[in-house]
Amino acid sequence: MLKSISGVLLSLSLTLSLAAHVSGYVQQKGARKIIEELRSRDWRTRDLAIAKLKRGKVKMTSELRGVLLKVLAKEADEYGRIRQRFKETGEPGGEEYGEYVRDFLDVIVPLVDEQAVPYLVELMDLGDDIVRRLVSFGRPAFEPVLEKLGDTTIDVKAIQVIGAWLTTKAGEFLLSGEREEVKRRLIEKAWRDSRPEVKLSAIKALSDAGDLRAYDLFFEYVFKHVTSVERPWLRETSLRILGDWLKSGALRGRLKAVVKNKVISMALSDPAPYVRIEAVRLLAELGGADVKRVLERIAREDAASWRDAAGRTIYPVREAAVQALQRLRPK
Amino acid sequence: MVFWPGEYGAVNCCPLCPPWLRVCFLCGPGSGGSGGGGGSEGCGDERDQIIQEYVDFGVNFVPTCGDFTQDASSAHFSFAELNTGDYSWAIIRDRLLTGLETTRSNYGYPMLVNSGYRNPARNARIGGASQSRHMYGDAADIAAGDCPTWNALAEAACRAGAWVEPISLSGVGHVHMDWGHAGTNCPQTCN
Repeated sequence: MLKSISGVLLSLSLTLSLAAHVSGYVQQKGARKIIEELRSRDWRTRDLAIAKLKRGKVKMTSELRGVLLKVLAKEADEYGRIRQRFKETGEPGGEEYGEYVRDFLDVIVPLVDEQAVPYLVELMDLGDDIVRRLVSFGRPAFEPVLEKLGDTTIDVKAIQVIGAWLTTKAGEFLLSGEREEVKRRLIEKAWRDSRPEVKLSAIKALSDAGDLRAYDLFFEYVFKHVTSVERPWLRETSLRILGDWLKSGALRGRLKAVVKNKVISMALSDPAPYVRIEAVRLLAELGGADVKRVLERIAREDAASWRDAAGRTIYPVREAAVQALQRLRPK
Repeated sequence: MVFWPGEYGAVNCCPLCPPWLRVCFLCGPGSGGSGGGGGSEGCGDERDQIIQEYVDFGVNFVPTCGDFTQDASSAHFSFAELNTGDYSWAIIRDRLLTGLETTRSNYGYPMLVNSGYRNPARNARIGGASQSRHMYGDAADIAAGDCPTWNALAEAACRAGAWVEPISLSGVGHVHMDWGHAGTNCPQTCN
């Protein structure tokens, strides 16, 4: 009996050892193949390797991680070239390549340390998660991001990162002189750049940081954009900036009354629902009996609606107005 | 059919596959591993073919019968517009329908879908990425044509929580938007 039990145990242990051996071998073989594919010049072959990695079938080794970093450098270089070529000739890099790079970033972004900063800076136009990652790196990302303020193919993203440093704990690494220098660069950008999204992004970053020079220099520009531009995003951003200035106390008196009239008309009739939502939020800050009546009307009548996945009809502007009314009540 | 892990087409679809051996014996479409709705007998229609394409083309997702639809639509987007595959069945996720409706409402005008769902064989024929979100049923390419239209569409989609591909990749002809990638992306606009 004892003999037969020990026989079974011996055979079980042999099976397990063989299984571990086979498993290790298969892992190694899989990793080698992936490394080979990642080194390919053809992105479609690299794409296949990334798909396998996303399946999680192969353990991350230091060799594999090293190869992935090299691929990151390659994609950053490639995407930089694509942006430049598009700027010069209008020829795009291809939607498919973009989808592959995004998949690649899903794999690499959680693995990288500050060594990857120069590459992530080149790729920051491919996901808000990359912007957040750069923000979190702080000091090592400072110079590379600042440099991109001069690259018109990616400067709005650079402004986003810098803006986050000016307003969050992640920016505590900035010395006071550097902080001033960064704000000076943003003012210069807002002043000199002719593209409205760049101007407004820089002004927004400054107003978020509570720098009132932005109010003195750019109030007229922002106010003009509240209603005059065709792009809803620019109108929405202008409203947000006005909201910052209102909270900081810079916007007051007669000017506040003028702004209020404009915002009321936008909350009621701007063609884009997300702009109306922003106007409604700003009205809650502005307050007053007239605002209350307007918000009540919007909460009853705004037409924007769509159906969510569960088949319910959503009225986003009406909902925003209800929330705004709740914020008005305690005043 | 035996695949080594990490090999092209290897999918651990068979519940009987011993994980320690890490070798998978494919049991055919709908054999489990990625959710219910399948069953070893398959769907009994062309969905079986489409499911097999996911295996054959190494897509990191093998749908089951229940993932497919022949009539999913929303107030402004019909099934026929969104199904740009080869079959009468397609995967069209609720998040795509909600995302497109929200985008349209933000945009304020009708939108033309250039490409929606693609089955893997079609995706391969047009040179799509191996894991294109178009095969997952949560991506769409919306026709643009000039910078102002591209910007307005991209910003509307971004406000609807989409990952929007930069214009330097997609070009001014269309805006690629999807609700499947990690997080959103509001890329630099067109000038």
